Amino acid sequence: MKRPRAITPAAHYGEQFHALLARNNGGEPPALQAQRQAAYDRFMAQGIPTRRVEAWKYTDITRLAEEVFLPIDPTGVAPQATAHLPLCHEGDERLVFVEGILQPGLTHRPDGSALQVSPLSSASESIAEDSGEPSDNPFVALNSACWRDGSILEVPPDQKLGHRVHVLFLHAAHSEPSVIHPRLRLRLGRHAETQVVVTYASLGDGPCLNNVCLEVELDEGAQLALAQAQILNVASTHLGFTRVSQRRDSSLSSMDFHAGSALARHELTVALNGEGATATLNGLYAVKHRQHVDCHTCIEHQQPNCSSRQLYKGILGDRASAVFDGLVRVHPGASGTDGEQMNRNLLLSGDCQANAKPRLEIANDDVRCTHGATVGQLADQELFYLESRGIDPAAARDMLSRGFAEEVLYRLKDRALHGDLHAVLDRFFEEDDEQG
Amino acid sequence: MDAIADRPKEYKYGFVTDVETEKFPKGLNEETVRAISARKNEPDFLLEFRLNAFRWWQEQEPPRWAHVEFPPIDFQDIHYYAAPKSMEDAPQSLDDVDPELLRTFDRLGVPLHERERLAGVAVDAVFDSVSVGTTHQDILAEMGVIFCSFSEAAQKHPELVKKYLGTVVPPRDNFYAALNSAVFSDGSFVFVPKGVQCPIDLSTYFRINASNTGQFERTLIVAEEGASVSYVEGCTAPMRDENQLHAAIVELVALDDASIKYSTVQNWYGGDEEGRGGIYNFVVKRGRCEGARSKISWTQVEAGSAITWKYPSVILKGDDSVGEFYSVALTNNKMQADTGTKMIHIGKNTSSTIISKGISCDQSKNSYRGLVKVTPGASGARNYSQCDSMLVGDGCEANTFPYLEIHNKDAVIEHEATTSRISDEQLFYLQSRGLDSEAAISLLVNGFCKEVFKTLPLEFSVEAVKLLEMKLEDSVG
Repeated sequence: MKRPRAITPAAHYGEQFHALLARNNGGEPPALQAQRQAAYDRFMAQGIPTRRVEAWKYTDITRLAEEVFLPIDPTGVAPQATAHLPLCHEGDERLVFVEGILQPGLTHRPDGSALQVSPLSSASESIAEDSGEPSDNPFVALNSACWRDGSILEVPPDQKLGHRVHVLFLHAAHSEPSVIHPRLRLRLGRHAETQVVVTYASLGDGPCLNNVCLEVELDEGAQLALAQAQILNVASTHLGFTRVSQRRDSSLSSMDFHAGSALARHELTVALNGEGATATLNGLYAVKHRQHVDCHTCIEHQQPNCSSRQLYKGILGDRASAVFDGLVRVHPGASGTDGEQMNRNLLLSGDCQANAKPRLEIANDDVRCTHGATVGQLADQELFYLESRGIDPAAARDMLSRGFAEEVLYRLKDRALHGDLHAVLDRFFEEDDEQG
Repeated sequence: MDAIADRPKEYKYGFVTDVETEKFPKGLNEETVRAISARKNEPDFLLEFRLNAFRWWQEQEPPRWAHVEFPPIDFQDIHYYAAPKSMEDAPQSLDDVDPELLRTFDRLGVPLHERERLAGVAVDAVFDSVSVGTTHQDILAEMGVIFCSFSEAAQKHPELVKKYLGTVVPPRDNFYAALNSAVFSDGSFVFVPKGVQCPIDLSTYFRINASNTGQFERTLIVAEEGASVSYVEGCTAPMRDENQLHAAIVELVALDDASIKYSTVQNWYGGDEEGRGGIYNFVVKRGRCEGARSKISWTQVEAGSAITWKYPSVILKGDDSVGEFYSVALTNNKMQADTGTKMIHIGKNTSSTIISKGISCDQSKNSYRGLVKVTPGASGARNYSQCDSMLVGDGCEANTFPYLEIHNKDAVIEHEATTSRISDEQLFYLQSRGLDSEAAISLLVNGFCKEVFKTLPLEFSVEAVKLLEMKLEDSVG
């Protein structure tokens, strides 16, 4: 008997959903309620995919069919804690969500900021995955059904924000497993320019299912530097979904950073819908113990003369495992496409696993596309060179591993974030040294 | 025939040979399987092997995951056994073979006669489902090399067949492997004993002639310790409007220090411009480097078939074993190819090389799909993969689906792929030097495929170049 392709989610998903509807008590517009219901039906129809589904070949989430994660209400995170919030800096425009609910007390809006922030529930148009076909990822549908709070961030046309925007999704609970459905929509008007950091972090040590849905729209000529840093505690599960839609001559620079969670999965889809759009996707994952990380990227070259650049690097230790599944799809009309994709994995232990699936689907002859993938350990010659210069072996390994990561991180124009992510990596390597 | 001669650019091997054929009725059930086995007078273990495979096959669904499209195959609408009728009386030597058959093979350029010895190739020719003649048997016998049809091997060397059959591709490996294991009709068997370097290239030529038949041949090559052999296969079929199924299995076993080189020039009929007709080429090819320091090398030039769906693979079990895969896959008209390789690293210090060149023209789809797997015990594994695609025309597709599964930190794995087209600048440069456009394209394509062609035996390398030129003439310019 073959294993099924999907498992029916346990009854508690339905109970949670209906509890949410009851709690809103008809306070939401009927259209929104209908969207939630449709999304919930889609989730139930899709079920939890097993490893027989190609997109989940290397990542087993079937335990989520049974495991119970309950939505909880935020307990007070004192305003003075802001100084201790991860990756935060003076001068940021800051939105803080705790357990998925926006905390006005922790939010900081600089005077005269051009950024327009409105609650997702006030959106006049459809909420659920409006920027494209519904995803075949059931957790996106679950997010559309169950999100409790969210924001729409808009940068008006021709505005260039001088400061960075930092959105934090925090999980503060200590004990029982809880679920958060962060949802954010980001819109840049024509020729608008901004820099956005989204951080997913744990303040407590309780397990959390962090099920993110992020939708980004870039109008003509808009420029966005988007970084997502996932540093949840190692008891948590992170399921991320980001969909970007780009119009003519817009440009996206994305940094996808994963160092947390027992299991993390991120699907990043970029549709280049206008001529001359460019997308640069950088990614870095550093995992150890029994952590598992799975990065899916998909770039749809729909229009002529677009270019995409991808560099995803991973550092794996102990019994960790990683997946990179990248797809560059060139549609028939997309002549003049220039696509590059590279995935490199550094294995620090004999028990870790790296899986790579760098894919190209090309239906136009006027393209230049390359991709590559490598898996290996530190080169003996490089270690030897450093040791011959008087550097002890542990330090040499450390230098080379950091150098490996730096190839991705130095691309960050945001120096503050660059320093923050290095600090996260420092902890990653330090624990290693203690063990070793 | 004249009509075809007037259209030299079309499929050159599209003629039908008028020989009387004996076919089993259409359809597949346990009786068909028993009848095939009985007709070949097989030992009991083979019948059991077939029946086990058949019973499992009945419970399976055909796989649909490949990046190809075709209507569901009606497995009951196929003749599972077709043999030229004159074979009934089992020819004792080539002189007894139906002259019409021999003329067919002459027309295909396959030298069946001993006098062609200078060609330096021993040939086993398979016509529809049965082997019609094997040349150079005596020279090979002197060296102790067994090279004969599969049926003959089952009669004369049942112990060898029993020992190795299904050890590389088990009958339950997949849907089409099970189908083949149940109904395979004939094929080639090669056994190179310990320490013997096979002095000449061995070759099988496959020809599908009868209509509505499926061809299910099975090749088994065993190289004992220190032995080496080079094996070449070629394939053609007539032009017909309906699709025909070809589901073969090739198994290679290399013991310590043995080396097997397997080259294919596949030119089954690929259908017409509208995508009518052509062969469905669903083949399972796999080699196992059983012994230490053994080597298996696959070279394939895939230029035909409506659908090509195969992944010649190597299981690198022995320490220090080596696997290689060199491929050129050309698709034109509405052909579809989903092909590549699997390299499974198990032993220590194993290495593999993958060079794949895909050329897609017209409305065709050409996909590379490959797996490099390094198991936890395979320390020191090394792989280099390069997959280049060339697109000719804006209606075609070129896809690359590599899978890398690395479970050992000592592994060094590199994968690269590029996609490009013949650029106007390159063409202009060559034409400005006095080459006409066809010669220029041919030069560029040959340059693109050079790394693969140079691994083919010389005569086949020449054939491959000509084949590609012929196919490209229609598609370019």
